[in-house]
Amino acid sequence: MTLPSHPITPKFAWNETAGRYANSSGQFVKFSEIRDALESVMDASAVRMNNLTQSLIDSQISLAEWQSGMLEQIKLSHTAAAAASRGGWAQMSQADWGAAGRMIRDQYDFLRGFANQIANGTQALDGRALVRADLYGDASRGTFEEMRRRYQTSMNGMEEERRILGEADHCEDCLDAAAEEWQPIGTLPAIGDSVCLTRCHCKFIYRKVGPDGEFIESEDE
Amino acid sequence: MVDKKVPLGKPIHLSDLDLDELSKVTPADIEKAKQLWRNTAPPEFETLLDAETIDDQVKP
Repeated sequence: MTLPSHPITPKFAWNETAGRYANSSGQFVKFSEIRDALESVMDASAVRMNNLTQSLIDSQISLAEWQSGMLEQIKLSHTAAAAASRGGWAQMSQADWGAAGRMIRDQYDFLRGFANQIANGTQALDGRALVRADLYGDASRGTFEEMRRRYQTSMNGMEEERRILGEADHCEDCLDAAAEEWQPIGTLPAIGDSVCLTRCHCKFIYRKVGPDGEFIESEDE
Repeated sequence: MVDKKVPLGKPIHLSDLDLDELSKVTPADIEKAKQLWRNTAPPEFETLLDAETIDDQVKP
């Protein structure tokens, strides 16, 4: 099948069976490239969150304005991450949006606590607030991996998962999870649930038993 | 010129039900997220999320 060409930017397609993007030449796109693209989007969103927090520290905006801006940035970055993981906007079902919403809800809960602690003075309004705000910028990485995990479970019939360490310093939790190697899908800690929180750069790979008893691994590279 | 300091004020009070509602992804959110992706993803991937599902037989 030939995809329509575009004079400026390449076109992509989504192969639902393989769970992968294909470029205009029909070549699968590496998920490592998708993750890198998402990092650029996350970085931009993180800069906005940082600017909001610096403005709050500098008394240029109110706490409510900061909170409102953070709520928006969280939702937008997680929405984009979910769609990137699931194959694009057109592939997102109502159930997928519901799953993404629940992940956004978790972040909103954390943000409510953050705002309340700023209000009551238990969260210092200085560089420590910037560091904490930065965690929200990284959190959509977890949504990307969790939506991927969801697809591999429900759409691709994968049975086992394995945590692969990313290019980063690793916390004890991540080292332990990676050392467990293959485990039933959905049983290893989610990305973002380790000591390193949202800074985690781990990912999952998946496998299932094929028709001849051999393992079929996800082609996530 | 003297910078006017904005008082910290109170946080927006959000109940659990408020968070349930606020966290739902609306069509307007999706449009904004599309803009975020297109404006900030690397140029070679700015149309990635506009992908449509194709024939399963496409292989590399």
